[in-house]
Amino acid sequence: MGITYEDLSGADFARLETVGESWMKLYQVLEEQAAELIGIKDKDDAAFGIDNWDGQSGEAARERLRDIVFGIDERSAAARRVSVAITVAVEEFIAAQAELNDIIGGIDPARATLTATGSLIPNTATGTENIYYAEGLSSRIAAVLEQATQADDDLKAAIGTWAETFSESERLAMISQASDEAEELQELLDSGATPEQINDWWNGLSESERLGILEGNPALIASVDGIPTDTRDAANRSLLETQLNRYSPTLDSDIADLEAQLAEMEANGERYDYSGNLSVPMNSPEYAALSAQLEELKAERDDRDALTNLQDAIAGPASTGQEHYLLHFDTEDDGGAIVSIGNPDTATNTGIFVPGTYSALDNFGDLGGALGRADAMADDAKTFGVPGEETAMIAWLDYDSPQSASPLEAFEGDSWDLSKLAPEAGDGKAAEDGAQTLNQFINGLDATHRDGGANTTIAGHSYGGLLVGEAAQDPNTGADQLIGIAAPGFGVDRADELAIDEENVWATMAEGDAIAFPAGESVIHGNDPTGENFGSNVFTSTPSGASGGEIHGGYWDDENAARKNMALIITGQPSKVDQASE
Amino acid sequence: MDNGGEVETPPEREFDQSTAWSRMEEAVAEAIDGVPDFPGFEERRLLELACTHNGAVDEEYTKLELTYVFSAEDSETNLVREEYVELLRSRWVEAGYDVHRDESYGKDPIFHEVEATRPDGINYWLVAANYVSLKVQSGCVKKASSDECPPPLGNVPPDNDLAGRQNCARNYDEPAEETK
Repeated sequence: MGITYEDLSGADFARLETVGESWMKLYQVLEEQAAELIGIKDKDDAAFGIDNWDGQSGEAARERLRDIVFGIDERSAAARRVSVAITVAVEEFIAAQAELNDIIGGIDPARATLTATGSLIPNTATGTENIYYAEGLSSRIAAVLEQATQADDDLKAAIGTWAETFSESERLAMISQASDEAEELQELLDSGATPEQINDWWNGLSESERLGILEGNPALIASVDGIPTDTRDAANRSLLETQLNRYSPTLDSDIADLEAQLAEMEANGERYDYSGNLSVPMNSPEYAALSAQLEELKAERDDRDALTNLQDAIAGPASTGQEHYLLHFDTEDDGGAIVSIGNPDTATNTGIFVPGTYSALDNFGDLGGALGRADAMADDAKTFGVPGEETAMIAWLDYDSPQSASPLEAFEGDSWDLSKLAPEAGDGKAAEDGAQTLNQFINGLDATHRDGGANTTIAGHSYGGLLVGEAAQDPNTGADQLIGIAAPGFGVDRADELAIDEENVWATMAEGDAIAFPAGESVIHGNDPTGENFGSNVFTSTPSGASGGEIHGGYWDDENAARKNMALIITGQPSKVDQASE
Repeated sequence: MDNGGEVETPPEREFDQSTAWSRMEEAVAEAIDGVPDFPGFEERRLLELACTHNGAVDEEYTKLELTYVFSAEDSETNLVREEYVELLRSRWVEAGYDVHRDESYGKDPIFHEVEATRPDGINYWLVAANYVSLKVQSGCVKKASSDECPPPLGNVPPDNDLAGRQNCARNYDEPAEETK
């Protein structure tokens, strides 16, 4: 049933607004409860810590507590979304009510009379023209009521979804009603639609349709550029939870059993089969099959652990108080993820940090990984940022990061890996491919930004610097500024070969960095971006560490000048950056 | 910074992670003790950073960075962005701390940064940017169990105590004496 004239004209939305605030309070309380529970298990000497509760039962208790924390985290995110949905609905209701009042206030009583139910009775004493007048007003009132009804339906769908007030049949009905739209989206994607086209299409849907797609088919939208950040986050979190639930709860013990079986076979002399040609010992078929099974399970365990680490890393807000938004994850090859600290759809500035060699899903959420560094950059942006302006900082690992940087790595460890004789970091292909993905991602952010786009900076470390340089060569890049942090090159010899204005091209290389090369010399990935003739703005950084390798990874150390300079660039204050050439 | 690769682990510290946060709070209390017309802080944050060593993250060590921020309004005042900077700089010099960075740059407004390290390795970083922040950095400390949760100083409103909200759900340790 739709909203009636009486409903809208007499409504007081202050109560609904208060309800929205209560949901926001609930969100905050749940966030704090989750933090408290994390404290109970995470420290060794905490109540549920390993010092106080060792062994299998302690492990099980900590595992259970972890599930509870994520349950609470999910509820707190849902409470936040309900609160936002109510706030949006209140704004729409108030706007509709104001429009209704405008229409009513403009009625000429000599030409038509408004009834208590919102009908208009034309005054026909002077002719028929007032009939058209009354009909015009009636259709305007109907349109306003339709607008309020849509807002009401959207709110109902949002509450039904996030507060889980929908019955299963209502939920399925919502999903079913959005099935045509899901198909339309698939067709759009298949046709190669741009992020802007995707976003236009998405904005044309009702909230119920959007939620129907999200509930019924999160995989369809999770990594699609042009889908709003908040929705992508919900879709990815849902998929992450589903994927983690798919792993067998006995995975660890299955691996231990197989290892024991193989060890027993080895001890009993059952490993080898000598029946082949020339009696050359070969692994017996049974041993080989079990070994293969073991490797598969170990790979599965690695994926599970990497995803669990990712889920842990994005639980609750960042140190800046900003929310984490999960925009993509995958376990293909070395895996990857995209996480934003703060919402890039509403931020004034967006920084996108691209990590370099050795990046993988399993180190993504570590303190020294992509997300840990983005966290520090978000904190710095808050320290040096402009009041009233928010900076969203994104850790972006959606490319096939090189896993070797030196030929010497071929001879490390117990067995030589001769494939590393030609280190992956020497090949620019991964950067070229990744650059296209990055530019598509930026175009998506431009499309979903609520004010037409943020001041976007792409910042790459090491091989990630090459990737952002490749991205900046594309005339259609949506990036406004470029930062290379110890970049081996931008893939060009001069800054004026990039599509970003030279004044917005920045680079730094600390003295003693392991990959520093003679200034200006052209190496495999183009000239040194910090070289005298390259044409970029070179900013200072501190050699932080005792060796070239340590300095190369030390740009996020607490006293490194690079941190401040990057923050000033990202927050749009280039005149305050400490430039090396000055 | 090149030490010839002789140092294999971060230098020994007189404290580890188990007491790092409260030690850093004590450093803030020392800094703001008796500061004239102190308006209070608006926000408290706590950031954990990686401790890198020989080019790799050292899993046995960590770093903490505690940040107290003045409100935007207070940060604009001459008292906070000029006089406090001068006062703290003098205090740190007088205390014999190693004032290893002291610079002013830019305009509208001019930014100031002063850094000083105490003998225990705790580093102060006073930043007068658009906001004025007092940061205290632990440097690399050995990881250790810690359930400490010192209450915020300087009348930080509970909702803005991000460090307390995120790390201990505001279940603070015994209240420390507030420094006015």
